Amino acid sequence: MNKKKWFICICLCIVVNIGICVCLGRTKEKEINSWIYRMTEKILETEDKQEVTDILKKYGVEESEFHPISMAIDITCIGLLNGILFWGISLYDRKQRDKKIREMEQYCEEILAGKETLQLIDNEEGSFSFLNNKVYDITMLLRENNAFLKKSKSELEQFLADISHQLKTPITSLYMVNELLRMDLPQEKKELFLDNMQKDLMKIEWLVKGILNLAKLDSGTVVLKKEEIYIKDLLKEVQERFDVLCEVTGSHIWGEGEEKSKLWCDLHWTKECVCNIVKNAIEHGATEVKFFWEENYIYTMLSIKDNGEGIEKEDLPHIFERFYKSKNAKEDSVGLGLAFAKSIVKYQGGDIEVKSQKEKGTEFLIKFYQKSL
Amino acid sequence: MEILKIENLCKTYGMNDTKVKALDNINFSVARGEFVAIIGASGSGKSTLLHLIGGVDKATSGKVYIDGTEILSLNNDKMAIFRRRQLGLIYQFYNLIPILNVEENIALPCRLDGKRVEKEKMEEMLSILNLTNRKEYLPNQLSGGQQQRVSIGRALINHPAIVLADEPTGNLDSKSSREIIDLLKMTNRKYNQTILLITHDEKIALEADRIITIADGKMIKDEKVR
Repeated sequence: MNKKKWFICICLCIVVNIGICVCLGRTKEKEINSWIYRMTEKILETEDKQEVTDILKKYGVEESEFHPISMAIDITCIGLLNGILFWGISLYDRKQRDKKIREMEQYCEEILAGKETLQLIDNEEGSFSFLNNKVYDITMLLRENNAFLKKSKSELEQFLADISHQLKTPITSLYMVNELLRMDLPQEKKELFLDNMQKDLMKIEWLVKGILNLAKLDSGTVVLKKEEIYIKDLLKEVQERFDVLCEVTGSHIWGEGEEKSKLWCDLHWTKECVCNIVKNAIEHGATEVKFFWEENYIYTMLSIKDNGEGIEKEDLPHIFERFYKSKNAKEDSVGLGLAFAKSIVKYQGGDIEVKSQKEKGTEFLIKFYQKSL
Repeated sequence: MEILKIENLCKTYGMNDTKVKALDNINFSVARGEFVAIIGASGSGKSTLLHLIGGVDKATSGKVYIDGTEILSLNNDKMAIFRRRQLGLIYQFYNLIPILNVEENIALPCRLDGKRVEKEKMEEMLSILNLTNRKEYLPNQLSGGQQQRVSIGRALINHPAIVLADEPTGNLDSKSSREIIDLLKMTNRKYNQTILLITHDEKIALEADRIITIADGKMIKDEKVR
């Protein structure tokens, strides 16, 4: 019951008790009168009853009041009345609570039946209101989970469609070349076709590997081994991976930042992610790839900046999409490298952004939140 | 799921000759988990908009739906309870209770509901705000940035439907501003907290996912930045 109703109940109790006290007072009066009667009883026994009664009547004492009522009965009556009053109030309170419980039950039934009904939040004080709020929160959570599952399912369908499309092309090409090789051809032609087959097979292998990795992340089956790694160590491993490629292209990978800066992440997967980004950078003409990192109590930020050919403005919002290839993408690129990088970062609870200017270069900003958060 | 829906919102101040149309037919929706910035020059009506959403002021016409509840139909008492439980408010000038320490200021919305904040929950909140070592301090013993962090904690402790921030970095230096924006962004990413940020600074607005531009009480632009 809310404050108003409690106030009314208390006023009622006070009024009733005042009424009882007034009655008690009148009872006291009756007590006094009955004492007067008992005192005069002795006199009445000896003298004329009527005469004495008349005298008493003059003083306002009526005959009907000559019946003694004991204090004990008075108190019992008071107690009984108060008891009934409080019982009545608690019954009323119980009914109110039952009403609220039934409302909540009704709400839960409607939710289970799949109805879109909402309003449970009543903005009142009291523990029922808190319960309402919590039930509402649970309902919201269930709804959101459902929506997320639906979205995941349709994304998966789309992904499977994309995969089969991507694989079809090199497989068809392999069939064709196979057929052609059965014919009588000069040796150089055969060598050419065999080279093509090699390329297609590598493409399929690369596709399958990339798709498998993405599928693992999508289905949430990747077990991350998160640890605090020094960024300079990560940089060193990346530099080693690209040693040979850098020698060939003349690119230079280096880094700048606090010696002791750490990243809270899975080393193996994060390295794959960073390598994808660096590989892209070098393939698109970067001669300098600079790592820069900064740490604060909320996150550690890693920036990978290159001086390559940059990304077109219209491509920028799409480069993390799966199988997206810009106009000047390499021929054998599949469009999964950056999608994979983004998935890895997101899977670890981080954030990735890109900034780019045509002819000037591209910068990838990766944020990993600290362990304590 | 729309957590905020504004329908034909209008607010006029004054009468006859001194009539000022602070807001003119504002219409937009915000989905759960979005980080929206509302940008406009001084006097463009953005603070008025925030006050109407926060239920501190009543609109002349139009409707405001927060998580399905039409807030203009609530009386003052119910609005106060709604605000306490479903909204988180962050102001430019912190507005902390000066006689309560950091921990008590953060726990205030819960205490007003008669509930205690669990120890682990408070510890977690303090570590997110980086104020674990200062939980007994009074507001006058804290820097501007720290005070604003306390008010963010107070706004978030009840997991509100939406957090309204009115120029939260207006009174802070660039380093503290950066911290506050990073903190808000992190809660948006990690806890899917919907945030509506009012600012006149374009650089701050660019940190959001979506920018709504207001000028002279009218909505001029509504674009997604990320």
